[in-house]
Amino acid sequence: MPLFQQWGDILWHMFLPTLTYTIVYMGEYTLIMRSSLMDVLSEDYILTAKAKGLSMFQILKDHALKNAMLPLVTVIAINLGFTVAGAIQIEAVFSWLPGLGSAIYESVVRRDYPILQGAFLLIAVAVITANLLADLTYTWLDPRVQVE
Amino acid sequence: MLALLRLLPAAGQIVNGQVYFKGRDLTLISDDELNKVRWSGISIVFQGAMNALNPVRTVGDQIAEAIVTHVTGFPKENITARVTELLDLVGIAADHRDHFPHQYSGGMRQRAMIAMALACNPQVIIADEPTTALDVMIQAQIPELLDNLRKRLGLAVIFVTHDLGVVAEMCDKVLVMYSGVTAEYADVDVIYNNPRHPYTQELLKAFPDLTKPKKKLSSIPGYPPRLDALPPGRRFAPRCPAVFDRRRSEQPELHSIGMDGHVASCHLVTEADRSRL
Repeated sequence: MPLFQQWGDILWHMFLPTLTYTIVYMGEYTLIMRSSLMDVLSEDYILTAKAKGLSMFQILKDHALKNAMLPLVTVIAINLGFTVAGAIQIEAVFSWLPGLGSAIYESVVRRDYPILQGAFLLIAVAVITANLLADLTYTWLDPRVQVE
Repeated sequence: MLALLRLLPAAGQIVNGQVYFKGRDLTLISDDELNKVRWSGISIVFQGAMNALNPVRTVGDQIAEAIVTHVTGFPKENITARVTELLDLVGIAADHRDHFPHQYSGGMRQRAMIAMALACNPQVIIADEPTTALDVMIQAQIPELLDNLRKRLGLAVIFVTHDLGVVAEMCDKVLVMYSGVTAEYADVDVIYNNPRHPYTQELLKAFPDLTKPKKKLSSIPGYPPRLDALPPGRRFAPRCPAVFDRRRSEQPELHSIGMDGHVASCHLVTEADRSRL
C-alpha cells in the first residue's frame, strides 16, 4: 500500500473517534466557559468598560475573554495530559488498534502488569507536564501570577 | 447614577424621566449614539476603585483604550505621551504607566480611574462615592484632586457622597435625595443655613459641628425603606419628625421657594409658603 494511501486510510478511520472526542469535550468546555464568563461579566471592570462606551464585542474580546479563560486553561491541560495516554472507551468502541488506550484495555484484560505500569507512568508524566504548561500559561494570561 | 448613562443592570428600567445632555435626551437615543456620549461627554469614577480596573491589562493600556475608542484619528505615536500626561495630572509617575492594577495602592487606583475619566476631555464627570473603599488619609485627597482638576480643566463634577463635610467644601449646588427621589435642591449655602425639608434638617443634625459645644449627635429613627416595598404616601413620612396626616397619604410635588432655584418636596414647605402669600 503506497504511503499516502495508508495515511488516507488512517485519517478516514480516525474521523469518527475524533468527532466523538470533540463533541464530548466541546460540551465540557462550553459549560465551563459559560459559567466563567457569566462571573466575569458581573465584575466592576466590565461596568467600567461599558461606561467607556465600548461595544459588547469589544467588551467580550478585550476585557472578558482573558479573565474568563483562566479556569478553562487548567481543565484543558489535564485533559491534554490524558489525551497522550489515549482514550480508553473510545478506542475500545471503535476498535482503534494502534492506540495506547486499546493497549491499556488489552493489558487489563490479560493482567499484563508491566505494560500497565509503563502506561500509568506515561499518563503521570503527561498530566504533570501539561499542568506545568498550564501554570506557565497562567503567568501569560494573568499578570498577578508570577514565576519565582 | 448608573441610570444617567443607561448602565443599569438588565433588570433595572427607566420608567420615566429624562436625562438631557447637550439638548439630547439620553434615555431616547440609540445604543451606538449613547456609546459616543459615554466617556467622551460624561465619564464616571466608580466607588469600588479596587475592582473598577481590569486586572489583566496595564493601567496605561486601559487609559489608552478610552482615547482610541473616542478620539478618531488620534496620532498613535502621541498616545503614550497623552497617557503619561493624564497620569501626571493625578500625580502618578510615568514609570507606573505599564504597571498592572494590582501593583497600585487603593488610592493610586482611584487616581488612575480619575485619569482615565479625564482621557477624552469630558464635560461632566460623575464621581459615585469615589472615596468609599479608601482609608481616611486618601479619602481627603480624592475630593481635593477632583476639585483642583475641575477648576483647572473647567469640568462639571457630579459628586455623590454621604460626607456632608466634603459637600460643604466643594459643591456649588446640592441635591438631597431620599429613597431615590429629590427631597431638596438648592445652593450649598442655602442647604446648610436654611434647609427646608425635614430630611435635610435631620441629616444636618446628625453631622458634628466643630464650632459648637459637644453634644450627642441625633439620628433619624428607623431605616430607609426598601425600594420594592415603599411606604404609602410620602416616602420619608414614617421617619419624619414633622409628619402629619396629609403627608402620609400623598407624595408632594416639588415646590420652589424663593428665586434662586431652591426646590423642596414637602407638604409642610408648600403650605408654609402658600400661607405667607
